[in-house]
Amino acid sequence: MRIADLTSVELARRMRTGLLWRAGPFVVRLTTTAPIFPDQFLLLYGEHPLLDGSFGDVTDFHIELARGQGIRRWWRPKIFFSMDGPNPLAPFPLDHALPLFEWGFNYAIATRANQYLLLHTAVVARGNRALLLPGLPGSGKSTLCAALVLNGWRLLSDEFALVRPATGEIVPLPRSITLKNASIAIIRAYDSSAVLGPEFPKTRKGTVAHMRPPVSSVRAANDVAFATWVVCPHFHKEAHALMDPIPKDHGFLRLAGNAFNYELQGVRGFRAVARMIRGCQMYDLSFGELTTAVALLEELTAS
Amino acid sequence: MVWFVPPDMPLIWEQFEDAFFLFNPFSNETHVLNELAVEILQILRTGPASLPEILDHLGVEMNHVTDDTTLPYRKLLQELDRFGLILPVVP
Repeated sequence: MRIADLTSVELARRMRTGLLWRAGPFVVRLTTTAPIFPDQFLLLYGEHPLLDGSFGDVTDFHIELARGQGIRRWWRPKIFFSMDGPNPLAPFPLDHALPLFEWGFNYAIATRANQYLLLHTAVVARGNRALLLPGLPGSGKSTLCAALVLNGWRLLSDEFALVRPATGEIVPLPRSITLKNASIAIIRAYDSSAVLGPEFPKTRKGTVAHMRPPVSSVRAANDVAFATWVVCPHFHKEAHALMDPIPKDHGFLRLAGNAFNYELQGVRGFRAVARMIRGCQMYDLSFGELTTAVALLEELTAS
Repeated sequence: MVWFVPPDMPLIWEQFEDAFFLFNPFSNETHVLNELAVEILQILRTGPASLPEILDHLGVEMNHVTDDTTLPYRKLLQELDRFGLILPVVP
């Protein structure tokens, strides 16, 4: 059963007591009474599997988006993220529950999912060959990821590579792609069929909007892929699209440094990064214009 | 002073280009080493050795050894000690 099989009213009712659903390998219980949020969630996560607990699924994350109490319920109302008790995320305005959920879920994965080597990167794939796009905020990672997905690439994640250290398999976590500021209009112009949720202005990262993951990617959430290309994007407004190979010794340091939990993984992480470096081509990609950058990536991965 | 590699410490290597990546399971740290450091670790892996013995293994001409010429080797040994990759033999 999919989340979209519920009516809007039934979804909101279940969220009040805890909606049990699956995102990639994770079982999530999401509880909230935030208004509007269920409909926004439905738009982005409608194709995700709905669980009823009858198979004894172990819940990985108990997430609650709780409305402020006391004066914060009525004056400049706030929404608070919590996961198994206190957490370091500051509250958001009540009508920003969706971006708070997205960032809070990322925080939950980055701090808890240590059964994986967690790389901070977008991941797309053709078949089981994955292209990783690690980058700092503002590098163009999510914009490129969205454009490639609109070109038919399978979305594994906009934010994480969940790498099984023993095998190098990357486990998909197809969720919405968070677009920021100018990227929102760029993706709308790139492909008018892109389905985006509402825009949220004045967040700490500016205006954000979320692109719905393709149905085919959500349905392929059990199909692992292997790192084949690692391309580090660097967006500069005036830059011409240019791809430079990264030597493998530099690549090792870059990939290990990109992981949230490299040292925590110990020798498993060391061997996992080494395996990825041996099996991958790595490049830096400078670009100032999306279409040309996408064409370069398509050319690289077609060869 | 005589140095040795702790016998219970596995040396877990990967080489990419000219760099050697060594994982130290005691500290969970990864070290990037050059070829000389790797050679010294391999010498000390076979048994404890003093600086003159290490230099002899490395083929450094002992007739011309001065404090200046041994300085880089002494610094390297200190670094390897600091990372916990080698230990001095306590008399």
